[in-house]
Amino acid sequence: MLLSLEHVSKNFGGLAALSEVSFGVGPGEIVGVIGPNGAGKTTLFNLITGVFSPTAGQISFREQPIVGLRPHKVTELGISRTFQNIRLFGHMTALENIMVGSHCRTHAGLWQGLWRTRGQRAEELLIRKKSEELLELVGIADERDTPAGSLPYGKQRRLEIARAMGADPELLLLDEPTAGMNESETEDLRLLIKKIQAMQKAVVLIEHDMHLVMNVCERLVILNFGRKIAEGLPEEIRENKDVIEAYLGREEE
Amino acid sequence: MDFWSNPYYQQIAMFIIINAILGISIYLTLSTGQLSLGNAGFMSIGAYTSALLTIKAGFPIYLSIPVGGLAACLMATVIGIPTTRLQGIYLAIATLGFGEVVRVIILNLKITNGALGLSGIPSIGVSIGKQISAMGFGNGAFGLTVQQLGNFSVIVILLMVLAFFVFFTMRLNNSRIGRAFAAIKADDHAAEVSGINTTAYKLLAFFLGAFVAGIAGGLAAHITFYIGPKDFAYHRAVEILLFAVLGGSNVVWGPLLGSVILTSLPEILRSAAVYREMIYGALLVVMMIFRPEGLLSEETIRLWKNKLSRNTPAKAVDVTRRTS
Amino acid sequence: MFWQQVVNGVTLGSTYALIALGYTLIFGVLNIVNMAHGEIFMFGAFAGLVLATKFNLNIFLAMAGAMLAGAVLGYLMERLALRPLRRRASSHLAPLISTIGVAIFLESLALRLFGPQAQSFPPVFPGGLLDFGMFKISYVQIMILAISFGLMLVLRFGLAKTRLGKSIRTTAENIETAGLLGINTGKIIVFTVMLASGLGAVAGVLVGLAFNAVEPTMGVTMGFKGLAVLILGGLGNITGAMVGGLILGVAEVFTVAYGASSYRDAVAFGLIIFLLFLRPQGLFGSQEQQGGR
Repeated sequence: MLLSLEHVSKNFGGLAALSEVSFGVGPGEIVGVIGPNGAGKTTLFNLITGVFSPTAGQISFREQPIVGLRPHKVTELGISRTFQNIRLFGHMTALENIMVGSHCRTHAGLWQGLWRTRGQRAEELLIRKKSEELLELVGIADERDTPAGSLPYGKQRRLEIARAMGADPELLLLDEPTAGMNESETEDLRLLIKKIQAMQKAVVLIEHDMHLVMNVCERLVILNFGRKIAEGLPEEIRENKDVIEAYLGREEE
Repeated sequence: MDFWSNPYYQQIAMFIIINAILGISIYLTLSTGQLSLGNAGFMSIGAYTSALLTIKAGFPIYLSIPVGGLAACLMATVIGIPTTRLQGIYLAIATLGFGEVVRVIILNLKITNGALGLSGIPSIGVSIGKQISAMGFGNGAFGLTVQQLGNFSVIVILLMVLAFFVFFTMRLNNSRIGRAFAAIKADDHAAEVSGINTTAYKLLAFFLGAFVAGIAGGLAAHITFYIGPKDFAYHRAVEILLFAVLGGSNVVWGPLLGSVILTSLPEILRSAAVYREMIYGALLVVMMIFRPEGLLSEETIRLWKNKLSRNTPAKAVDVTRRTS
Repeated sequence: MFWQQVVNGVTLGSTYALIALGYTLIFGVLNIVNMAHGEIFMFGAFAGLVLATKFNLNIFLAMAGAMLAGAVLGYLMERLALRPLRRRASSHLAPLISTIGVAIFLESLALRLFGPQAQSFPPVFPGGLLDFGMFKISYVQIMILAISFGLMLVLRFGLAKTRLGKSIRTTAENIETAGLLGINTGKIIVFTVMLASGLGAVAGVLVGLAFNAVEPTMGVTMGFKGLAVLILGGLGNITGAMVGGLILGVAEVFTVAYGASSYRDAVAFGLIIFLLFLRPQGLFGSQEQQGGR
């Protein structure tokens, strides 16, 4: 397993946001996490990325416990994420946003930056090239020098994914990437996720769009009121009575 | 009398440059979105360290000033480690408090001569003047007296120090660390999750700001012959803040412009001197209401660049509209 | 000796608590630190002084007048320096800087109006001390204690029980929800700023009486102490402000009593720097959670 969660719980005050959630993600796998609003999906991401510490349970990445690590350390180990409500660096250009993403893969310090040493220049060139490739990958190469804050919504979502990819993650956590997108944009995103998967990256996807989830995910984890109520292949989940009752039954026809 | 040889104007030019260096010091801390009100405190540490090293230990000035900067840095580490974990408001208050503690300590120590302050600090101008005389120009040269030549050299030296810091800041902005600073300023949580050790970089920015402030303090001490605890009180901290607020804190030219305006304006408006603080106060409020980004922002810089390069103002306006 | 110092410390601390309450109230509702609070406090002291000396008002009336003057200043500050900032979503540092501007302006104005020298209140109370054996206490001290604790009790009760108090607490909790619940949050903000400023002004008169000196620079000195208490007690925490104020008062008095009198003004920030190492969220603050949404 690349990522594994064992009996992870999180309480806020007296309220349990997550209780006893366990599941794993294999290398290169795409796992969907679905569930009604308030089921604890974003909390799950916050726990994995070290924003919060779990009240109980263990989280490991590549067999190494990551509970208690600061978020930037988790990113350095190879887990990147996007946010449900986009959080880009608005004044910086699209390219610069991605270059920030590759921060933890580069090394130039104050001194090298001040004197523009040979190594520093080579490194700058390298991350610039890599970032341009990522712009290309997510399909916004022509917005290279546009300040992120003035990009249209759909492109901001893509840029955020590109920024996360800048850190060369092995696992990418996407928090509702299609929120607010129309059908054709969603389709583009599906293709993008497939491309990312082809690059041997694992993806955990929080998503409400059932069509997308059923299409791209190899496995699904269903949360309801902070508990995992089911896990399995999309076709199994489609037939699972608990899930239909708790979630799908209300949302689909 | 010639403008450049008039000691009064020379003095003002020196103060402007020192304030510009202080402007850079607050810019550096602000570039990670942290408001430090402790720069006057760091300045005082630089000033006292350097002054005492020359007076009591006979250090040469060119050595004592950097040591003063390092002392300020050291202090920044001690104060910074607990405070940079904190949100903006806590940091502002903690640094304000730090400035106060430093002031009270200086007031009470024997070696700093308490409220009376230190006088007879070796002056850069005088020691350069001595060098000039030793070189055989005892009667001056180029139609200037030794004192005028000394002062002139001081201005050149100060300008060089300022130019170095500007160069440093601009190089920094275009580097990996500068991008990390900018990301933290824009959204520190997103920056942390993007793999930036925000605590370390905030500390670094705090540290750099303290160093530059310490250097400015040392320079100020060796220009004015005298320093006292009053020179580094709360009002000084607010004045430094005002450089950045008026000029703009998003580009390094902002605080520079702010310090030039705010240092020369009181000299021009002598008659309004009694209202100076009142004007400062009102200015802070007005700027926050009407132009919180300061006179110069990234957009203004872009606009001017376009104007200069293309000479087609109409198009340049278009480019800047987009981001507002 | 010990108990005497405790009594002196608690008296001093009660005025600090009153100042800090002003900071805390405004922080709770507006989420900003009002850096001009110290200067409003100072203006309150001068208002009381002018009413007591020039108009020969009874000290309690003078205090009420000072409270009113403070509230008016608070209103003006909210209208001119805070509200315009809320219209445009600017950084969280903007109101901080704006209130620093108000502070500098008011201090300088006070210097112009009242001059730099310290002035004192006419003697209001008999000068004698009441002897309780373990400690002695002056009439002025009794009055300071009574008024500050009285105001704090009224405030606590008012916030807990009255409709207005509940509205303030709801607004402090979440301004958007409060708006949805039909609370006129704009009015609540103005009222809170006025209330905080009024309390600050009363504290100004009390401190003026306690030290028998009123001067323009007292705003900065005492404002800093209020800030220290604010941090000490945890931002926006009312109990924290009260307890923090008392702790600071006692700590200062003991510092003076046991030798280091000239370091008195550094005690406040020494305490908070020390505290920040141990408990960055303040004595009574709760650990802040930052969501990653």
